Amino acid sequence: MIINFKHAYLALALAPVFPASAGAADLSGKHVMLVTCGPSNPWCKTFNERITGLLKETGVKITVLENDLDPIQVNQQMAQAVSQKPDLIMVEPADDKSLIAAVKKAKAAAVPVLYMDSPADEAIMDDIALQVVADNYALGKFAGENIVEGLKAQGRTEANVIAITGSAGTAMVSERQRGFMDAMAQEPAYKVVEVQANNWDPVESGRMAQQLFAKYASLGGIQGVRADADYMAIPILEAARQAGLKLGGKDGLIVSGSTCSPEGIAAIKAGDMIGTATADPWTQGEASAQAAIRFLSGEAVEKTVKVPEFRVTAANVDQYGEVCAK
Amino acid sequence: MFALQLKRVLLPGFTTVTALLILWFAVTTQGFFTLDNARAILASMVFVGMVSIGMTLIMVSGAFVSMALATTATISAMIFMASLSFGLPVAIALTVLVGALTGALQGVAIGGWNANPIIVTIAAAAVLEGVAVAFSHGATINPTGTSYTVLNAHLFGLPVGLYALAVLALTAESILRFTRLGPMIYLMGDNRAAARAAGLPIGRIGTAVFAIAGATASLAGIFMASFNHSASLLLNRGTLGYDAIAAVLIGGAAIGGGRGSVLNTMIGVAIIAIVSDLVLLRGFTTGEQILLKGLVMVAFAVGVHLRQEQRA
Repeated sequence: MIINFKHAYLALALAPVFPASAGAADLSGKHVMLVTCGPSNPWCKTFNERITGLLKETGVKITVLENDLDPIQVNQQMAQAVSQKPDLIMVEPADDKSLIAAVKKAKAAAVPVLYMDSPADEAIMDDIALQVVADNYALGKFAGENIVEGLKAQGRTEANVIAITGSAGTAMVSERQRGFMDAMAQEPAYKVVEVQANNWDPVESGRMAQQLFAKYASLGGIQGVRADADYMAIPILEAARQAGLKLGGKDGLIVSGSTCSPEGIAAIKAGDMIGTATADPWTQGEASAQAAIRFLSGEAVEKTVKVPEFRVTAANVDQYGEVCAK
Repeated sequence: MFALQLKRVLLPGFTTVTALLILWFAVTTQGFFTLDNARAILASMVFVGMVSIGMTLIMVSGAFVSMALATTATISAMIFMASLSFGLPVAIALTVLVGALTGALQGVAIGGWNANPIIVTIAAAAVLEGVAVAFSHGATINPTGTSYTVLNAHLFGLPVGLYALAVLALTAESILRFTRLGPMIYLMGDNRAAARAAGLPIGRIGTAVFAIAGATASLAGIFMASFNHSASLLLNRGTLGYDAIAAVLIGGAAIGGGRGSVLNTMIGVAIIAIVSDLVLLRGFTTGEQILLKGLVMVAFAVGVHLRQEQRA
């Protein structure tokens, strides 16, 4: 087994010098392996920090293996984690299908797996101990609602809408798209004319948007865009400016982000973006860590913990600004 | 003998068929032949174009390719955003300087010590990424002020970055053609041993080539950061480095060194931009787009190189 030192590091929790805060479980002696996306992604950075921070408070020993959301690397790290026989593996998947074998191996080795963020494949529902997932359907639905609301406020009777999403083929992305299409179906006059996926790549998102704006310029133009993350929406906003489109307001382009970030919040406040949604790494990490703590303490935890998500618009942006800025 | 004849027959046919196929695709693609789309294609050339200028010089000099230029661009984007508090001119100068320096260091190892360029540049990319993670702790770097937005401005309907690319490409081509350094780069790429025997300063030429490549990659980073209004290692997710290598090959540079031109590379960049645009506009899925883009790149690169072989 090759250990990739660039992406893997050990974060050994020291036994707490001061007494654990009231109510915190004492889990010293337990070992958790966290297989997660790495520090090159700001979302993952906050997510990992929240998980390790909360787990360390309980005295649990936590080993972090970071990857670049590369399915092959995730599988290598899962094998590595299983070989350590920890009390729990927490995994953030890069690709749900490619993780099936690795999770089954963990089950065979009697190592419980906590699946995070994206829903686990049906084939391994009996093999995982539990999963903490974002309500991805709701996230997509919120984006649809944001766009429909924005277009209606502009008084549009018809509109062309495009979606630029994260990696196709993950349940997370397809669930969001399903929620989005359901919300858009409420308003059949607003047509979703293109759905394009890329690898959660901000630069590529900008290029795709700019070229799609050009494609539809003579076909009535594009009036709404859904981006799967705020960091993908920001270059789309710039692409729109470069294409000479107006943003927001009475007749400008309506753009909705998701998995909010400080840049997205600023764009909503500036009136450039109609809205976003939570699934912020801070809340997502907290829910995952708390489920892990309850599981390790021997409490009964439901198989699927769904983290409630919230729609963010100009009306409530101040309320969510803080959690999105973490 | 038979193989040679086959090639003589197949080659013109192959090139013509590929070109006709693309033309047919273009004609039948809704919205392709429009001014808006031409602008969008040109705009999409900026980042790959800048990186491929340095990549051309590296390939001509006989150092194959650099695997570190895309990472250099990303790190430069982060340095640029972080240093905007000193004002825009200082931020640009500082970023380009750091980019040139990181390039020069690799050039010393490759040009001077004859180290394997692939290994050195892969290692350099890993080190650069590690340093970036250590300094940024993985966070997104946001700019101070909005002075950088001038780099997103337009002149006569085209982005400032495209003019910058044109100036850079012409400058690099002039270096190759009209300075003393230019012929030395070609000679070194053509035959390193002969160049050394002729008393050429191999180490300094290699250092200069990689320093220029680092500088042009850092300029790509500056424009990338401005477009994204922030910078993080997420900017490194795409295929910038590979697209630049493909552009240089399509432009007809010899992978072994000694032949190539920046302006021809720009044609390669344009072809990649057009194909990327076509497969997107045709509504192919992401997987199909990657496949088709790859196939066309291989077809062009092979076609160009077979033709050169035939001429030689």
